[in-house]
Amino acid sequence: MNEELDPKLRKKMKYIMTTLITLTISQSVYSVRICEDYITDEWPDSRYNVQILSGDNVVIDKITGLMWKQCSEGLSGADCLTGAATMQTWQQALAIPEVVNTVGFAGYSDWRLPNIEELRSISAINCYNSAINVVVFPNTSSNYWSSSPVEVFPTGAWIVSYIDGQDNYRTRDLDARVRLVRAGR
Amino acid sequence: MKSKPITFLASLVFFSVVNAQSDVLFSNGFEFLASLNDTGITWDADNTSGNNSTCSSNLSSPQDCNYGRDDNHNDDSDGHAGFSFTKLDATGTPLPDQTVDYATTVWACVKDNITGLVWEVKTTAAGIHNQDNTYLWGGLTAIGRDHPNRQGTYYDPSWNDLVQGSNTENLCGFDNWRLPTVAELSSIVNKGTSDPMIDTNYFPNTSPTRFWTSGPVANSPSKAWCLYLRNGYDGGLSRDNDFRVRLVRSE
Repeated sequence: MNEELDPKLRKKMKYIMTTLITLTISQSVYSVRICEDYITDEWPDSRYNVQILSGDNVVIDKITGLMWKQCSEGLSGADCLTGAATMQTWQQALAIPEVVNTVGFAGYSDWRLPNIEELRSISAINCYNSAINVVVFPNTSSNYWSSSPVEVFPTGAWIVSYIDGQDNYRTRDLDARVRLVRAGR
Repeated sequence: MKSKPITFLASLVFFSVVNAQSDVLFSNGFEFLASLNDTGITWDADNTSGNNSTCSSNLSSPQDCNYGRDDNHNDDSDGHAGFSFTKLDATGTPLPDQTVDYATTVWACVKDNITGLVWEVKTTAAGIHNQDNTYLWGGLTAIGRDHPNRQGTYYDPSWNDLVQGSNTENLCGFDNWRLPTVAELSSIVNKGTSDPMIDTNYFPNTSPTRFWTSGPVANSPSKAWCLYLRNGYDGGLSRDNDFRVRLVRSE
């Protein structure tokens, strides 16, 4: 089949295919996120202060006063696209801060797993896929562990899913992502 | 003919970029949450299964109970653990005796001293504040109700009588009563207990059921956010459900 095609047409088809593939990739990274303008945006860029301290990126929430690591554990770089997000059980997640604090991050050594209210405070429920401000918290999706165990489900801990910003229980020996926090004021 | 696929692709790219950016360019302000409440969890859990009754276990890694006001301001005199509440009468005056129970002296509102929010207290008496009143979602102060691009059904009369009635009677000295956001309603949830997950010494007459919040669900316009006080989790449910409501006001 291909041998019969005009080389110019083949070149054009190749260009179209490449564009399509590029478009598919860029769609999956940037464009599946949808925000509804009729739902109040309580999480605009202006709410946050992104700072580089001792070479490390942190996000300060001017409303709650909390300081967050910009990237999920396992990820780094300006867009948090370097590396792979660490998927951990709850027990493993709870142990991460000690490792981080041994060397320090952004000049601080009091990083910890957020509780469920803190984790929820960055859910931007005017959007979905992801329900978070992805300018200040790039490459954030799926489930994140909190430090809060569940009263009515003693094998679970509270998580937030940034697909839609909802909280939920998750069995402690399943995997989820981690983003660390520290008191900001 | 030749340029058609490219034009189509270009318009797709443009559409995607516009969609992705719209939230950033057209944000319309926000309310101040101020400080976050702690969770009310004063106990820790084993790594894979089981909850303990206290925070004194010898687990290797700190958990929720090791941090925050539930740890460093754990004083039940003004609400469970780290919570700090003040009972207000119907004029907004703090009750002289904050330890009084509801059967002895009723109070109309509770001020949260951490978040600054003032909350309606439900009543056993008949009327707009009755604990068993339920509403379809979408009445006055529901987010997006007056927006030209709103999606899904906003029901009426819904909780309109409650909002308007509270403002008219100047409940606790205020006339800007509204539905709380998910984060606000969640802030008074005591996740250290259940059935209902709230400090009933301050919020009596609270059914362990579902309460509406002001938020529509972005990815499902037939739903709105509610919070289930039996087990504490939030989520989107169909707006045509009859659920309870607790009003809030802020500056």
